Amino acid sequence: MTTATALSLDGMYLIPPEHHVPDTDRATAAELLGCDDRAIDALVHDGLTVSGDRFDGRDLFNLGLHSGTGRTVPEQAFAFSLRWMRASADALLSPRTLGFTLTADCACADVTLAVPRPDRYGGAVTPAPSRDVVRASTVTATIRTEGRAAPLRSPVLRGLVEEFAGLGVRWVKLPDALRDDETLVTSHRVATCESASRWLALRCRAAGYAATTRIGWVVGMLDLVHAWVEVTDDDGETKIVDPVFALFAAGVAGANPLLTDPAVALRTNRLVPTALEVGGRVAHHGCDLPVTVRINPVKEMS
Amino acid sequence: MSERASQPPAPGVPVFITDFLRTKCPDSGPIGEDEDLVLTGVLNSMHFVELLYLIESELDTEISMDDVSSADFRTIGRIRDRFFSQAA
Repeated sequence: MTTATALSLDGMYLIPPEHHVPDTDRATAAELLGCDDRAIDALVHDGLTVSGDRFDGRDLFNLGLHSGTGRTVPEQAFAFSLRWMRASADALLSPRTLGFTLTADCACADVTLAVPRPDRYGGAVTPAPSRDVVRASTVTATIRTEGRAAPLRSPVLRGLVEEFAGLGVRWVKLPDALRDDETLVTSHRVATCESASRWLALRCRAAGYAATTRIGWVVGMLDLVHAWVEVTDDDGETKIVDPVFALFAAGVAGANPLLTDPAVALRTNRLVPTALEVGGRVAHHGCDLPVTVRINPVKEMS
Repeated sequence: MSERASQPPAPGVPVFITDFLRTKCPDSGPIGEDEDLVLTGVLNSMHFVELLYLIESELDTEISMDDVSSADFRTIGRIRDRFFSQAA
């Protein structure tokens, strides 16, 4: 075999043909995967979808992220973005004051943006929001978040969290049409934040627990829109269960064990919720230009 | 020539930054300090990570993602102001 031995399609979920977008050339693919041309040839030979010597960037990202080589761009990006998971419990839970700005970086006339709502989780937003979404190209606020690590009392809920963790699911990038599809969790062992949350929320509800999904942002993870689950436990308290963060933390050496403990419902002070569930969008506008979020700590007066 | 070739070079920007960007986008001319690196295709998500590690290496410290946003990397002027302001 070639140098592709460390890059394998084993267990890979390839973007289905009807959603395949050949947006990445061979040289970029090799750069992204940290490999040479022969390794790309081997991957194509093994079944990596190619169209006119171009690849779907999502296939490459997913392959790189789960390659285990440590040298691919997605692995390096995740290693960078997830450093915060090694933080102490105090650092994950202490109240934080943050400046928040969400900006649609385009000239679209009609832009709708979601408003941060940490007040849903015991925090605060200044100025106090009168709506959950606003027609504006920028949303600016000072927000206060605070974490909570609560015991997950229900053995049924703990069992569902453990069931998800035991599936061996891989977090992947998927086309918009598949991003919320929770059936892929069990059928192909792949999930996005959205589909994992839907999978878990559906099972919580099927077990008789009030549960919903929530989307929002994570401090320190740039423009990523994240999703998690809110579920009402046996003690009547609505708690946060984040199946994907548990998945990520399992791969971070030295991650705080609170992140992976199925008996703990962890809401870190990094979560900035909206009022939207999975399926909602934090921005509606008429073009493909990115919407950027800036969430940075504010130095507080003592 | 491309439009960016008419932009003035950015003063105070570490050479390793401009060298890095030139390596990643060899067809570009001089990059203006306010030129959007993402919209013009000079910097993509792959290069972004590499650039982060390079800046960390140059500063000899970890960059806390709590203190930055993607906007800090959109132009070389912003990179300079955010990470190398003492040299500017």
